[in-house]
Amino acid sequence: MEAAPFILIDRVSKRFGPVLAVDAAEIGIGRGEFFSLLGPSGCGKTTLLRMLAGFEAPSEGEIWIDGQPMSGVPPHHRPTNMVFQSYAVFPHLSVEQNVAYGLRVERLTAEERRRRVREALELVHMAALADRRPHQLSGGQRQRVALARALIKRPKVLLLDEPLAALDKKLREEMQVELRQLQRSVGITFVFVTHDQEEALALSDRIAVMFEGRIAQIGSPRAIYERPASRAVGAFIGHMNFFPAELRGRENGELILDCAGLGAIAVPDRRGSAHAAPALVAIRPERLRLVREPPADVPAVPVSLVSSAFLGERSHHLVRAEGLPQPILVAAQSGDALEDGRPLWLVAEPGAALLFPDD
Amino acid sequence: MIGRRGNPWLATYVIAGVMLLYAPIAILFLFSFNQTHYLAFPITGLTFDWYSRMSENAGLFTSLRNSLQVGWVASAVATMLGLLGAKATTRYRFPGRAGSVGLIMAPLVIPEIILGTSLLAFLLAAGFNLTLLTVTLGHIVICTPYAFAIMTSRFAGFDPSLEEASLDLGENAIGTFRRVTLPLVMPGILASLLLCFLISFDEFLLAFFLAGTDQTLPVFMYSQLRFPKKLPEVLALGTCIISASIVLLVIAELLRRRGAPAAQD
Repeated sequence: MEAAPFILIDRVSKRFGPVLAVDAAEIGIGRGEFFSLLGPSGCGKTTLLRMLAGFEAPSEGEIWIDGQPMSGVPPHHRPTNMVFQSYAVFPHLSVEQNVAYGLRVERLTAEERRRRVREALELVHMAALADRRPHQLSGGQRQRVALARALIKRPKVLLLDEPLAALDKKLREEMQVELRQLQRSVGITFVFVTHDQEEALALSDRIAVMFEGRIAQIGSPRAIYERPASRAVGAFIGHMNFFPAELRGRENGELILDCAGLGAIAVPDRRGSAHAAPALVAIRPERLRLVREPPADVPAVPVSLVSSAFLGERSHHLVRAEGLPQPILVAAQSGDALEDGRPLWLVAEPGAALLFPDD
Repeated sequence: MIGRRGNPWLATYVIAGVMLLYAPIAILFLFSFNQTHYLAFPITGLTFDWYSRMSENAGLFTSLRNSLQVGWVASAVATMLGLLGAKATTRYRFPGRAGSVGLIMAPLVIPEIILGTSLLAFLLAAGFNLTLLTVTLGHIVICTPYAFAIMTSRFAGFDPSLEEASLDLGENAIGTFRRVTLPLVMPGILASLLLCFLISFDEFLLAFFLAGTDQTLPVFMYSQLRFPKKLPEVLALGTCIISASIVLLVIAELLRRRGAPAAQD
């Protein structure tokens, strides 16, 4: 890690009785970064976020924010603010009173206070609804209140716990765009917890993928999608086809593997020769192509179409190849229908294959 | 109701059940207006005499004042204890949590006669004189489980992240309690005050054991039953108390309902 990051999670573990919820997490987050913690439910991402907020204390390790160690600092003295999954908008206060809630301890003049509240409400486009009560608001509006209430404190770090999970798909996508713009305009470091990989890919500067309390990979969305560090990361982010493979030999720094259902595939030898004999080759569905004629220059295998799903701008085709029990998923731009019974050939793009040990 | 006809026997059964529950109260109501002081039909004539005589009874007013005083203090203290207990058992996990809940709720199932005897023995051994204070202490013991149950359901119904949000926004624990917790559990507090007051107001056994010479209203009423001529006055008083109880219970229930949905927002 280069010169001290803005937030340093330094070998932090959290035990709840016998359960190890977070296992020696080590993360550095830069100032102004949009950083996501991504993983299935129960992977420890929310626990990690709550340790940043101060609601849970690490069992081991230390959290540093802007050069300050955080152990022993209670939530109300931390330079962080949180947007809760349930929004936690105070039901007995109006929108304006909710947003102004955290200003009481800041001893502002009445004028300064009004200005800050107005700014915060305008930032989230809620100025017109300042007098409403929370039960009169939609889910999306309540979330804006929660955002304004946290941002008005001008935190060094904004923590967001699955803030979009409760919204319907259309609204969720709108809020994603808005959240990203908001983060750019206020320049605050965002730490964002989600189980939705598309959301994490769309929003984040960098993502930490977590499984069972462990950090599986940290990287940019592109790096995590294109070069997953493990089979589990590859399977969790997007769709992935896996093919059992046997090492056949080496050629020009490439490994030649015999894949069930695909035949011979060349994979760059990234990790030296450390691969054990049973291996898995992984290929993203959009890096496979279906063609009518076997091309002359690249290897192709004959396949039969199992089913097609039309998804709008693209389609997902499931095809079956000889020697592989499970069907192979191919993503293609929606074009002509393929269900005409004519022969199909499957081609993998060069460099598309990833190699994992078969564990 | 629309469409399928109910079983006619079911309706009869329900009506009979309700009659059985409320007929005695109706009789009480009826005979408090009867001209003679025998509890026997036919009704000889209607009168407000018993009510006016009741209102001239000095002992009645002393005991009513005693009951109000005991009820107010006992319900306030029990509600406070219930509030703190409910906050602790719903918000924190600590060793002995389940055991504490059991201990708080226990007075609900201990026979009152045993509770009364042991309280009497204990308070006398501890050197207390039997006064309204000892009655109040006894009533706090029996009211606290009710207050605790009401406050627990109130706390269970509101999202703990509301309190976390307040801490997160810079309020300390006391500020959070005052600005978030208290307003959100207020309907529960009011409902608990009302219910505890009614329980205390109505309680006879403990008050009989622990009162000494200061009678509460139920103890006073019991003492009046020794004089048959006073019976209609007691009935009149009973009618007044039941009417007031019904009004208070309805208010308590309305408060409880009004509070409930807001907390789930």
